[in-house]
Order: sequence, then C-alpha cells, then structure tokens
Amino acid sequence: MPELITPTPQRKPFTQADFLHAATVQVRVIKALILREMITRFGRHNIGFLWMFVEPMMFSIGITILWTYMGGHAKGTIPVAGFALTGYSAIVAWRNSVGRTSSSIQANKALLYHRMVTIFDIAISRALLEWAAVSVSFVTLSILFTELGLMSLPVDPLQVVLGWVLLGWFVIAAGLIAVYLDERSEIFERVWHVAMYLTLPFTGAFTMVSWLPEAAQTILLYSPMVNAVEMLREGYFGVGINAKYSISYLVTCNIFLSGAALLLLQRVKKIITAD
Amino acid sequence: MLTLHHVAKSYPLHGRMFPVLKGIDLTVTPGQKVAILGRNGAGKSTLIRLIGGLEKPDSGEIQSNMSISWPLGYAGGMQGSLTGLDNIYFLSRIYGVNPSEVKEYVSDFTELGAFLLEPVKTYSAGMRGRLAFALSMAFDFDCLLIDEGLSAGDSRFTQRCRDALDQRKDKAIVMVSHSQASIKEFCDQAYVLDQGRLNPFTSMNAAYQFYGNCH
Repeated sequence: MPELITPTPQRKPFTQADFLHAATVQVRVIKALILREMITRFGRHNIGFLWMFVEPMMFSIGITILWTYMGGHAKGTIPVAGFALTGYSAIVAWRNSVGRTSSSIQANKALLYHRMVTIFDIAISRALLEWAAVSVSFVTLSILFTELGLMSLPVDPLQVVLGWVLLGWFVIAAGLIAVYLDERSEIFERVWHVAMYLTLPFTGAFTMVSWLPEAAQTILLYSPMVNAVEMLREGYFGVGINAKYSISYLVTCNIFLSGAALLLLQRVKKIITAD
Repeated sequence: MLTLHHVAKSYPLHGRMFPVLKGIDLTVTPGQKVAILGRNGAGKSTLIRLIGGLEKPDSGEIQSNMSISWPLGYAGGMQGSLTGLDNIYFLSRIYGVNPSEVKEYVSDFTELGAFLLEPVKTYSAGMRGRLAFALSMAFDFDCLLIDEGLSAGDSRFTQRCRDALDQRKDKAIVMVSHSQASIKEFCDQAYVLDQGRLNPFTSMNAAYQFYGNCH
C-alpha cells in the first residue's frame, strides 16, 4: 500500500531522523514540481522543452547582433559578442528570476492543499528552472560564438562557473523576495517591469566598472550583481580587462538576501488568500 | 483525530475586517462521516481551506494526527493544462508513491480510459470528481475532505464510492455542501454553519430543519 503522509503532531521534539525525512520529502517535491512545470510551461507541442533554452537564447542573439553593428558598448580587448553574451545572459537571468518567480504562487496556489508542498518549494522550483534555462542558453551560445570565431574560450573556466553560480544565487534570492512583494501588494505586478528596466545600469551588463569615473565606480560596486558580472567577465577575458569586484562582498550580500528571503516567505502563508 | 479549537478567520471587506468564522469547534474521529451544511457565503469554503491547510486561522488551533486529503471537488489540486495521467504522475511523485500502481488503480476505478491522455481542463465536472476521488483512495488518506464533491458523479460512480468507503470503515469524511442529497448518501452526522458559528445536531433531521430556517 502507498506510504502514508501523516502530519507530524505539533510540539514533538524534532530529531535528526525527522530532519532527514523532511529533507527527502522536500527534494522529492521540488523535483516533481520542476518536472511538472516543464510540461505545463513548454508542453509537448512543436519543439517542446527546447523553448526553455531557445527563448532566452533568442534574446541574447538579438542583442549581440544589435551591439555588433551599433558598436559603442565594448572597448579595448573585449570582443563585442563576448561582452554582449555575458551581459545579456546576466540581465535575462535577473529579469526572468524576478518576473517569473514572483508570479509562481498565484499560478500554483491549489498545490498548497498537498501538505508536503510549501510556498518555498513552489518558488524555488520555478527559480531553479528559470536559472537552468538561462544557464543552458549561456553555455550553448558560448560554444556557438566560439565556433563561429566571434570570441575565444574562457581564460579561466572555473572562475566563469563560480561567477555564474554566485550570480545565480543572487538572482534566485531576489526572485524569492519578489514572491513576498508580489503577494504583499498588487502594486508590485504593475511596477516590476519599469523597476527592472531602471535597474539595468546596476546590472553591470553595459559597461565595465573601470571605464567609469571614480564616483560612479563606488556607487556601482554596491550592487552585488555588478560584482558578479565583473567576476564573470574577468574569468572570460582575463585580468587584462581590469575587472573590479569583491567576492566576499558578493557572498555576504547573497547570504543576507537569502536569509531575508526565507524569513519573508514564512510570512507569505499568512497573507495569501485563495480565490 | 482532527480537532478544531476556537478557530476564527476574517477577511478584509470594504476596508475593514469581516469575520467569516467566529470560533469554530469541531472534532472528527476516525471513521466518522461529518456533513457541514451552510448557505452560499456561510463560510464553508473558508472552513475547507483552513482544514485543508491552504490558509491559517487568525486565531485558534487546528490539530490532526490523521492524514487529510485535498478537497475532493470539481477542481481541487488538479492542473487543468496537464493530462489526467500527468496529474497522476505528479501527485504520485509528491506523495512518494509508485506511479504505475496508482495509474492502474485510478484508471480501473474511474473508467476514464483514453481520456486520461487528455488535459484535465477538457473533462466534465463528473470526470474530474471521479479522478480526484480515485486518487484520494489510492493515496489512502485517513480523512477525506469533500467539497460539494461526489454529487457530480452519476449514480453508478456514487455507488462505487460508497463501496470503496464501506471497505475502509476507519476513513473519516468531512463533507461540505448545500445539497442534502449527497450528504444523505455519505454522512451520519450533520452540523450547520450559520453566522460564523457551527451548530451541532444530534439528528440529521434536526439539522435539516435548522438549515431550512437559516438565512
């Protein structure tokens, strides 16, 4: 007979075995949610799951073409294609994580009737899926552009991976916080598009920090995302590009934001109202 | 046992808090089949959402050592754009149950056949009700929450539900409805939800009589 999901009676001491059981259930639920999300979002029609990667890829390709012909953005030793690809992949990751994670609860509220599914599970599975999609698109396009001779392979692949992961941590934490904001107030849905647009200068995608005046540099380096993008680009194009970033600052911000995200998600359960 | 102790819930309405439930006390023991009658807007769905764990009460406590199903009704817990089979697989995964066993049981019980390969949003209310009920039997909950549910099925399916429930005498039921017919079919005890309070009755007839008089 199927295993019973018995709600744990309250006020019982929480043992290590309980923790392991809860962790297993959570991993199982998140996996199932991701699979389900892939089917509902991309379906089985035409290219199906491939849309997941093709969608962000079209964005990056378009921007790369624009920048290549309009010029203006890249300076010095950085190839335009590489500059656009690193910058725009980061922007797409940021935008998709905040925009799509924030609406995940509204769309999946009925799932909360299943006791083992939590708000965190729904939000994190959406955020992880978005992140994975942008990552695959980023890697695929890197290979493609390299093959086409538009850019060369990363100077320091490990740093690229690390920079990309720290960037992912940041945008996922931001996405989780956006879930709270979206549930807290209807205004969020109205303003997030313009708000995301206004954050563009602080994504670090359009310029290297070192190209800017001193005063602007100080301000930009407060943005965790600028630090991540600088780090990513140094990994790609080498120390010659004079990247400016602090890993410890980035990690500290990420830890702080993740903590805030978890605390805020705790409160979402109290404020959601079913239709 | 499922216990609700002084459960209260309010929602904002025209800028102030409107109390929907004003202190609900309810105990459901294993095997008990409880009906909750109430007019539209009496707070039945709110009560279901609270027992179902979708929302938390403003005050009071809900405790249970029984596993409680999602509300089995026309839509409950099912994703419309997924096929019946996708839903079976998803739910089996999160409940940690072998999907192929569940699939076999459900397709046998519901007689949905090839419809399982179609999106649930194309199902009739009765078909959804059948799918939800069969899944809840497959996952073997101790307590079934039924939201206007089984009334959607035809008499043949209602009979199947009866038989399935008769085999498991220890399964509890909490059913909310404003129709007396489905309640007569499945329940042996009735409460009437009126003006935010739950009124217990010792006999079904007394409950119906009171229900008939509330506004």
